[in-house]
Amino acid sequence: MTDIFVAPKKVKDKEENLPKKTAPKFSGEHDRIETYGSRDSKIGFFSSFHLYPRGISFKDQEENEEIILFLRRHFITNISWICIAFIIAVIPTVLFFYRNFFPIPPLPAIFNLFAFLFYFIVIGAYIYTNFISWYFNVSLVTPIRIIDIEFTDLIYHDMAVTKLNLIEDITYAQAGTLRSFFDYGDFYVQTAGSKERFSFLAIPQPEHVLDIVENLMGGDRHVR
Amino acid sequence: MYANYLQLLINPLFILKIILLIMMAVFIIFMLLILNQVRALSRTVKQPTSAIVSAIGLILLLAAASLFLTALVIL
Repeated sequence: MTDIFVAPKKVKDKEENLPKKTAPKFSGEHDRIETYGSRDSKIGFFSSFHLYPRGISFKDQEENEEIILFLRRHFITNISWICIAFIIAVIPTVLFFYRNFFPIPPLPAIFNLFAFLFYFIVIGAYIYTNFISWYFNVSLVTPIRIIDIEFTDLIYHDMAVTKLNLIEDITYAQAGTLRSFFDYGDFYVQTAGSKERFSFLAIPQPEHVLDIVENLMGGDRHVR
Repeated sequence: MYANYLQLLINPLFILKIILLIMMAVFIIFMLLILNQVRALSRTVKQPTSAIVSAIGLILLLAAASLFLTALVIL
């Protein structure tokens, strides 16, 4: 005989009915960021886009404030100074092999040796300063704020912070062949805070970043 | 006696040595500034690989300082 009415089973524990604490899923994101509990790997030396980075913290970080997104300029933006460093490192070798065409100044060999060594140390410093300019230009996104650390000049650095609820507008721009090919662009944040505009320049996957920030602000675009 | 000093001062090799030493000294000061900045930025954002970056800077500084001292003695 068929049942006309079946009483619902009693729930043993109310918590079973509660939705699991899951992270918002951003468009194009891999399944690894399935829940807030999952963590990504340690941040790499040349990493420029990292979700849920491990082993990273910043000054004045609040307790339980988790870093959701770690950003740097796309590594391809370093190609210009890498090429310059390569060329200026190769020049002395070329001059040495063709020294008949470019006569070495009549100096004692010891002077030439010191000048040569010093030249390569200067090239090393050139590479180092360019690298740290990229390495320390970091942007971080946490569930409550955005942090932008700028290292524009070698004797100047600046740390700007804005809360997500102060953000008025977010945009991104991705123009140019190289930018389209390597998928990087500029991401701008308009705020009501003291620093009106945050610029995350040449970051990888700007659309993805926009989705993440928008999602954190409470929007629902591309959130599955 | 003064003539000997004057002869030394106008010696092109001596002038070159002084120029090289000054350049190295300026470079060492520059590297010290850079390392100071790196240390400050490492405190601002703690990254797992910050220590390696600081170590590379320190190696460069030590190389420049040792080259300066060697040049001061040998040249």
